[in-house]
Amino acid sequence: MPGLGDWWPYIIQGLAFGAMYAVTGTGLVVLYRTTGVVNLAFGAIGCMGAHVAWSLMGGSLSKPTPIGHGVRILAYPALVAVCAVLTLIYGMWIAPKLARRDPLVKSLGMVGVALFLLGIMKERWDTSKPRAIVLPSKVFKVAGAVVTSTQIVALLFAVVVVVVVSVFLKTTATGTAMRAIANDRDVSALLGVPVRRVEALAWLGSGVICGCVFLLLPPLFKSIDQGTLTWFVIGALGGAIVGQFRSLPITFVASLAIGVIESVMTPFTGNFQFMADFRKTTPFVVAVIAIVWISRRRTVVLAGREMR
Amino acid sequence: MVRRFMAAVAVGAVLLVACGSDDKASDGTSAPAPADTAAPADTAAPADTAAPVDTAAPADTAAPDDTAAPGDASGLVGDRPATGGPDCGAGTGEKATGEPIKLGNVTTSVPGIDFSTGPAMMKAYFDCVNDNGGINGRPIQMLEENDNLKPEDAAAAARKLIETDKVVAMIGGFSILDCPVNADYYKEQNYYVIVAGVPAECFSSPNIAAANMGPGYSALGAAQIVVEKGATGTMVTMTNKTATSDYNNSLAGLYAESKGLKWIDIQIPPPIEDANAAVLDAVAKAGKGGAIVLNYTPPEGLKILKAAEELGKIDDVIWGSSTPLNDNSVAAALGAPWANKLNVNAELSLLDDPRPEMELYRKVSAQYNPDAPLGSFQQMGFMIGRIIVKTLLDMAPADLDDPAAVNEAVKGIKNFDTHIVCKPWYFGALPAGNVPNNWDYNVVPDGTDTMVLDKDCFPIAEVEPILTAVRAAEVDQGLNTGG
Repeated sequence: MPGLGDWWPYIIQGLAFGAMYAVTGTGLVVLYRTTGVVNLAFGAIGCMGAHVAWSLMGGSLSKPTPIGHGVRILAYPALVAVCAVLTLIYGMWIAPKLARRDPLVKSLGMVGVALFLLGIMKERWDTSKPRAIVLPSKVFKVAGAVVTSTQIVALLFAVVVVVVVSVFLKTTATGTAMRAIANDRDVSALLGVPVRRVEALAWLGSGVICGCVFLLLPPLFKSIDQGTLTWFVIGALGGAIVGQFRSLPITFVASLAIGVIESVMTPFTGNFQFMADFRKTTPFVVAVIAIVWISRRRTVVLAGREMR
Repeated sequence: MVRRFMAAVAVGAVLLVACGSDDKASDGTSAPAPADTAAPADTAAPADTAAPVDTAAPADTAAPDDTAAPGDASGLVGDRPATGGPDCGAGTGEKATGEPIKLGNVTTSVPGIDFSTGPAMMKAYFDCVNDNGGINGRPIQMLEENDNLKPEDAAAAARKLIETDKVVAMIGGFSILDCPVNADYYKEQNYYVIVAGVPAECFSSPNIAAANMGPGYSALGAAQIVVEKGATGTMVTMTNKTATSDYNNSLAGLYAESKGLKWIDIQIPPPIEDANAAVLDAVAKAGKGGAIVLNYTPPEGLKILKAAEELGKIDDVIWGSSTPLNDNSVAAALGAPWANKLNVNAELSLLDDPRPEMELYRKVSAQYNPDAPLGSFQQMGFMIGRIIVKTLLDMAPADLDDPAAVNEAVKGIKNFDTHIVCKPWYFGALPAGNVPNNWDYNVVPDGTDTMVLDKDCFPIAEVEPILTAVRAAEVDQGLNTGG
């Protein structure tokens, strides 16, 4: 079992991944509050954007880690654009058809999108060869542990996104409209809130956040591995569940905690080896504990039935 | 509403996780490694591969043989002409027509473990053969099934190919599960299967022979090199956690322990998500002056190596790897920081080897598989293609649709000279198992985009009884004496 000082490098790694969980969670919560959809295709859409950017940067099997120079630097904004457009297309043309269905059905619609995109990626970019997107990065030492500029940017980006989105929802007319729709879609429409337009904005915002997350995730993962990136969103759900799909600050803190806990469990060995083996379950364990805590004196409704 | 939804999300998440872990659970239960190869999680070696009682250093790691010049009395292929001839098959330049000769294989292709580039190169060679007269004018048709890393799929795939598709031979499978799941079935069907093998069962069945030496022997070769280069203290090995992964590094572990090093095996469920944390852990466990031997495909291995570079851990340990990282795309991705610092065991000859067999490989790759880089998996696919095509060409045309005749011919292959492996290849059909490829090279990245030779043909150490028996049979039966 490692000593306390040995955990510091893992905490840094965990904060960076936790930050990505936090931004993803923020995107999920805002979209859910506005449209009632949990965007389980968040990772697949981002992964598709990353693969398109990789190709635009001139990536090939003999050049698996391209860096955008010259005109190819436009591949980075193109990544964000692809994510935004794909998300918006779903939000404007497919999501409305499911608008009055159960949340579970809406979410399964997103799983369908994720699997569809995963199939396209596997067909177009076979998974047997390495591919990665790297960002120019500097390395620092903080208390003896290596910290990269990508990790710092990830953490700062998470803070900025949470603050900006929170302020946006509370102080702008569009934000107010989003919150109104979240409370009651039909009443909001009767009161003159342009529901479709506001929802489209929410989808677009979610797509842009997705693109920004996937600018940072591949350098943290050292890969644009399709499976890892597509299902990254599942881990990010943990923080959103702790925040009850409502509170952005709680989602942020919980996501960071999940990232750190997951990372510091890595070096356990011997009698504690099981902690390293099960560290990937951290988001789900935290989510289940949160649900049990939140529901400790309330009635839980599951699949339309009250569970007492 | 929110609580109801959260519960639904939690259930959905659990289901998704369950779907992911279900494969692994069923892998573990439905495709158990034979008792003689299973090993406890990360410490013990397979029972049948136990180190010699006295744990003395393997005799064949001593210097003289290691540096034997190609083509000398040691039986190395050297510059002898390739058994497969100078061209694709018959080299007639005429397109093959008529009823195809069906060959099948089972391959693993899932995110994190995708071996499909090997069969793709074999198919490219078949395409070239089909454009050059085929097999007595008939084309070869390759039927490939993905085992999806599920035992039930692997079992179904072999049965479909043999019983439904009526393939006459099982050739060129690159699978994690084909050997453990189907070895007995192949024996029942009297099929002699040529694979690029991964788990122990590919090297311990008389009915299966591999073009490669697999992760076990290849990691052992890498362990020999890192020890030779001065690793002390602890050797950490790393591989994917799958149903058969206990075998992958067990032989390297035996070797390390026989040399007085402590051995720690780290197995990470694929795909690796937090490579930085994995590297921090591995380097800390290896300690200064220790060694880390990787046993990964290029996409996963590169995550570890790039993380080590980012964290400034390249020079903390001596790095080694099994064959898959002998790939120029890996060298290109690693670049200057890793020049001469990653020792990759190469089961197959250098990618720029000037000898005719490799020249033909590069030519066929450029023409029929242009999107694929040169790499070891592709070499294996090409080599297996060369072996089966020559075998079929040497058969009587009337026997080509008879699985019994074809498999008898496969079983009898020996002294197949190819410049892709150090010594002539043979099938063997030896009772304890076949390891026809048991000499190899060490290569290192040159800092730009190429893997270059660091150490020429050297014998893999005998740390378990199978390889000892194989080497004795090679001498007794003249399996790889050449000519």
